[in-house]
Amino acid sequence: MMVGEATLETRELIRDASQREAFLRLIGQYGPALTRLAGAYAGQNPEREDLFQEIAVAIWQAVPKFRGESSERTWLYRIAHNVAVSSMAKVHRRHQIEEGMPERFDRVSSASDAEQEALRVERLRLLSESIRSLPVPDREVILLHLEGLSYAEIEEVSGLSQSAIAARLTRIREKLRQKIGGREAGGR
Amino acid sequence: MNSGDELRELWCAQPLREQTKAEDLLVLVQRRTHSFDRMIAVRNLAECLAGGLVVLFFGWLGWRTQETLMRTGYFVVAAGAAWIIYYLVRYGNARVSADPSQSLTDYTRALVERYDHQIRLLKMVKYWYLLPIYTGLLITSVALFLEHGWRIPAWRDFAMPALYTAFFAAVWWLNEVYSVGRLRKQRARLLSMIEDCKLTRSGE
Repeated sequence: MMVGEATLETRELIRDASQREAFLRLIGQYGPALTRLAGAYAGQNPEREDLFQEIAVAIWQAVPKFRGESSERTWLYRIAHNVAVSSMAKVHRRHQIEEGMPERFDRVSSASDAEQEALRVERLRLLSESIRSLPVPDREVILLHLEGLSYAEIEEVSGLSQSAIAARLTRIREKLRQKIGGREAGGR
Repeated sequence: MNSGDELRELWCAQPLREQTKAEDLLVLVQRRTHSFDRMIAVRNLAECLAGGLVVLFFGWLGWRTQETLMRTGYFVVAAGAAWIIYYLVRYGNARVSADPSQSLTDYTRALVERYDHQIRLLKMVKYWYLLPIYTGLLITSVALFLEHGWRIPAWRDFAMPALYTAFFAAVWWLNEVYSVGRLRKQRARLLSMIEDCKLTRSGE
């Protein structure tokens, strides 16, 4: 009886340690990508940070259930997008207000050319705003693409066929190009 | 602007402020998970304790009272509180699990089911939560009124029934109007997202 209990306890300790280890590795590897993803759904802090933590909680809870049926990367992005979407439904009003607010990005001090840097920051702000204005399925596809996922991986996360993804990405990229280019030209 | 690669380069180069360290995030996540579990456990315990106190108090009153109608009223309140405890334990904590690692459509559908469950529970509040206790209290008020003999009732006779009726009406409004309305809005937004996904998928 004692041996059985000790084994159970040891198993739990090992399970807890491996959950902890897996979580830390995932956050270390995908933390910046998840932060960008949270920003594409929640905009400014503190909602952005709150969504990031919500995603982290979902990942922490899902780690012990991961069976390796899909790749770790697609599994993680699927969790992140799903949590972001359900969070959007809960905080819709705040989110709508924020969508109209311009986002601020810190300028990188090491940039040699101040004008170039200002242009880059402005483009980034426009890109971010444009992505946030897209419908959820388009937003999911473009974010996965921008994070470097292959068409096969995007298919695994979104459930869209690869040909549909290709067609959609062409359309979204064109839309983003027009928005960013149009606003840049209008701003000058 | 720009090719897809340029967009990607721009997107991934965005400066990320206030990036939390993985170890600190783990502490935050564990705290958040534990505090949520603890909050649920404390809420359940508080509800059961409050129900238990009502059962004991009104049961004791009923046991002490000789007058039949008054005694019936007290016992109905006590039985109503016991029923509420049973209902909360049996149905209040039954959660439809929503696994975020499934597809967006399946996940949102599971969330919608969870909303439906919560809405059903809140819409039934008047039957399983308010009605049993309210009926018991009404019986005690009638018994009290009869105790004073048949006469034209004074406004004071209505003070206590008016007070608990207002309280029960407020509880009803909070649950069935305010909370259900809020949940319905969230549910509608989720459904529109599912529709959005379905439409774009069928169109391709």
